Amino acid sequence: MLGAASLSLLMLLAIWLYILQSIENQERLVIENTKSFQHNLSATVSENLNQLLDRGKLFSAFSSQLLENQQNTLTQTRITAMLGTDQAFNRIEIYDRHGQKIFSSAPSLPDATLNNVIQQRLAIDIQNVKSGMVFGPIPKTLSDAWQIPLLYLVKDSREENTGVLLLVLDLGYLLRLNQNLAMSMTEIINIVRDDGQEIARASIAGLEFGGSALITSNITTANSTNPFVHFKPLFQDQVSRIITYQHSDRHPFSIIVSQEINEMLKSFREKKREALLLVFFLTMVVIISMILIAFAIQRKQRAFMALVASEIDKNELILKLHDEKQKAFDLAETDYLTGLYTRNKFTELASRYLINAKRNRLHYAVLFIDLDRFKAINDSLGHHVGDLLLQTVATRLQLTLRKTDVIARFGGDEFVILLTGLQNESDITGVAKKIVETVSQPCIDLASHDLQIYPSVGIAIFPRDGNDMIALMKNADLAMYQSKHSKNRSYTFFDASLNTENILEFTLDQHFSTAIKNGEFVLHFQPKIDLSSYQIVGLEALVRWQHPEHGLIFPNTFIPLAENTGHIIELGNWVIEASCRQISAWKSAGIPIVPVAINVSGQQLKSDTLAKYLTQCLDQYGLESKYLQIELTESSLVENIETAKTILNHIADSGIHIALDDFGTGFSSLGYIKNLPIHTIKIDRSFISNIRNSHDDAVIVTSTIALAHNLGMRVVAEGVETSEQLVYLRASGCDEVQGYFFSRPVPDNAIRQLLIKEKLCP
Amino acid sequence: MPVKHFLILTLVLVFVFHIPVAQAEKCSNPNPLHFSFMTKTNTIEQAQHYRSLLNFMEKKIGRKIEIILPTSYDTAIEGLLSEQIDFAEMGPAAYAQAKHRDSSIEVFATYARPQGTFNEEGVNYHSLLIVKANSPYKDINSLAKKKVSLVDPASASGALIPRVLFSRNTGMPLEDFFGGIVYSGSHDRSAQSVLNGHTQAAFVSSALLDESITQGMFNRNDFRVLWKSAPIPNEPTVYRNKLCSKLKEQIRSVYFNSGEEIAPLLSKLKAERFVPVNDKDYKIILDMSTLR
Repeated sequence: MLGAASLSLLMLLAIWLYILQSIENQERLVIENTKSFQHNLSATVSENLNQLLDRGKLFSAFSSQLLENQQNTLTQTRITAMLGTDQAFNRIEIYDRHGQKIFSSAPSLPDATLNNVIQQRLAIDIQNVKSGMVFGPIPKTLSDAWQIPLLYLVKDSREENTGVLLLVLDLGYLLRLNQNLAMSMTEIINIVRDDGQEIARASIAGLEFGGSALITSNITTANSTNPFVHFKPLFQDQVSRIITYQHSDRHPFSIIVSQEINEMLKSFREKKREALLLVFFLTMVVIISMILIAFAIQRKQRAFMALVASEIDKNELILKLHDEKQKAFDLAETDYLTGLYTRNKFTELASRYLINAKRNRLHYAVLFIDLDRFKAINDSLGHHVGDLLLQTVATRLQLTLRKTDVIARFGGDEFVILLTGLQNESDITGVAKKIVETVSQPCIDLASHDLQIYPSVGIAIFPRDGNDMIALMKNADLAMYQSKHSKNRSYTFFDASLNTENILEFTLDQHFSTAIKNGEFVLHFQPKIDLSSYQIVGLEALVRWQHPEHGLIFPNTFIPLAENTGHIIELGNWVIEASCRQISAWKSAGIPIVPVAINVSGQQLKSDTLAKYLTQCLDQYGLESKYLQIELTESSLVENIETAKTILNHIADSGIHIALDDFGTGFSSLGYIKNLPIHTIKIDRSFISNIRNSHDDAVIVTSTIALAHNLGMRVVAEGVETSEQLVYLRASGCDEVQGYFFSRPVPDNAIRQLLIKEKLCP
Repeated sequence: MPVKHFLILTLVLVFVFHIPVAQAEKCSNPNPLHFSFMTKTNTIEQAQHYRSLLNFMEKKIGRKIEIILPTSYDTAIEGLLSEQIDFAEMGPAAYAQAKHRDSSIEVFATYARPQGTFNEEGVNYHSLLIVKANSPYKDINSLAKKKVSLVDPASASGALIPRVLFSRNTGMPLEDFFGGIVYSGSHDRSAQSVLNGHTQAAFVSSALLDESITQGMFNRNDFRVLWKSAPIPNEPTVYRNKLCSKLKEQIRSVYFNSGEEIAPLLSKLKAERFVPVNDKDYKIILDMSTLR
């Protein structure tokens, strides 16, 4: 703003300077033009008059003849003839040395003044006068105003004065001569005698008489080099004029051309006034605009400041209101909706517990629970349903937890729990799981809606995740958010090392029993091919979980889970039973049957019930034992080798072949297993896949095959996917192969087709 | 400058001129005859107008007639008195002035004009004091100390009549009544001065003002007349008394007994006819005591 203002002012200043400068230049130009015009004019008039006066000298020459011989009529006639054709001179008279008139071109009235002057001229030696002429007395009356007498001294051949020639100059001639000169209104041309007497005054209107008298005192400074006199009065009217003075160098007169300053500068002054007015107006416009803009900006600024102030006030009020509300809520000890503790009360109680916790060695944890999709339920089904859901969750939490645990709702769907006095840290996981399980149970008929909601739980443990409630709650909150954003974790420890399990595991675990009952597990089969005949010599049964929500789940996901949770026995039994049932079904269908191998977990080898169950099932479906085989991993033998050996011997005794799966990945050696009733070893897929690239792997495979054959075992290669692998294995003496090269594990209907074909050629 | 050339030419002519031989004392019978006239507007143009009459006269009287171009009213006066001019058309005042100095000239003709805007039909005209029609000057007194245009010191309506007759109205000389006097040299220049505002008033001839209006120089509504003089006889045509009677008779005859031959001149003069007059008709002018 200040910059724009100074810029505008600078521009104004520049405009003013420029205008004043150009006005000054203009004025100088006008004056110079006038001077130059006046100079030309005075030179022209002066030259005209000079030529005229020069002409008088011609008459003077004839006059001397007449003075010598007064009766010379020829000369008289010649003179009158000259006069008759001369437009400038009207009359001619010649006087002798005594002042006696000896010739007159026309009769005239006697003029005493004139005669006086003639007498004077004769007395004075007018040779002193440069041109030899002087002006006669200027006529005083209007009627003679145009008749200017000129007196020329006439000399004889001896250069002595013999008389005086009087020529009367007709001013009308001069007037006509100069009538077309461009003159301005107040321009005046003065013809002035050397003694200061004005001879004639001409203006644009003509020859003037009786005007303001001439004052010559002001022009005495003028000379031939500087003929100009400025801004001085020339007449008695005292009007200031611009004057040019030109003195004749041949005759005793001067020409003065002058013009009123006011007139000379009139149009210039009008233009000047216009320009100044314009610039003044412009200046005012700029200044007023600047002031207006300044005012507007100031007003806007003020309004803006007021707005900002009111905004601040408003925000303060809102914050205050919010605080008040919070305070009111906090004041209450229990939540109006769920009856759980409020934030305030919870903080108070929990803090008290923590004081105790520092004195004992028990474990404490803060759990933050947030209900997934709660907001969506609340928005779509209404607050009423949301409230009911919150109440349900609160009730379930209360039922799940001990009396000593502190349960609170912090508002919305945010529940916070302090678990108190736990003996083991690992108990926290159990509680967390239990909370997730309980809360995740379907809520039936909540205002005629059946809902299921999953919680996200964040856990912070005292004292490792925080020494006070503020830190614990903050960290539990953070952990909760991590839960919320992870795909498959329903509870998260703030300490990341505790986060081992996930929600899928949990849910699968939850549903294992029902899944078996509901027939969600199915068996897929992969054929084993004899390398000498390319006949299908066996099948491996592989369990799949056809989960209604998660789709087809592979064993590497749920088998470890089943082993951990103890469901593996249940599942293993189902596989045995299902396999027998399947073989029986094929048999009944007249399909050529081959032995079916089932995988046995280490846990199944812990009790003797496996062997019994196997025979029980075979019997149940009336199958020979050779149609069932078991496969076990090296790791399953590690825990209790003696028990396993006993159980395996029992199984082997019943005629069921035993295969060692994933051979090469464990720590066992062939020596270690030679005391076990193992009929077949299956070389792990990791060796097979590298057979063509890794020399080591190839050697291992070849030597393993050789050793196994030495021990009387058959060798099966797993994971055969290419013909190159097949060629190598065959060359190495491998007995059977299994893998995608021939067939991936397929369900019942597909394996039937293969069994019917009996042979799978590469 | 053409004027300068003209001057030089004139000077040259002075020396080569055929100088007329002096006549017997009894009567003057010059050959060629010299004629001049009073300046009105453009003297060259005026000379061409008179040429038709003079050509006719040359044939009638069998000798050349040369025109002396006038520069002012004095040209004719001095020319007649110095016998350089034999006959001339003059202004009435110029005639009176010349007659006053020497009675060797006499008037023999003037012309009658038709009715005009400011002029009356007949042999008389008036001196008019005019102001611009849209000026604030409504009577004579309002012009006190204002600038006035006169024509030529020897003009009757443009100087002499105002000086004598107008001064009787105001009781003081023109120089004292008016604030300034400007001789413009011609009637139309005077009128133009008033229109241009160079002067506030002008004394002009009613006849010549009409003529300028007819020529389109002015509009008939441009001026207001504040004063009108007594009738003045129109421009006199005079000759020298000394001219031989037969010559005078021949000249008069051309003026009064010609028809078609002088019609162009009359038309240019805006005149109807030439009328014979004598000094009695110019009594009003001749009687003016303050002619000088």
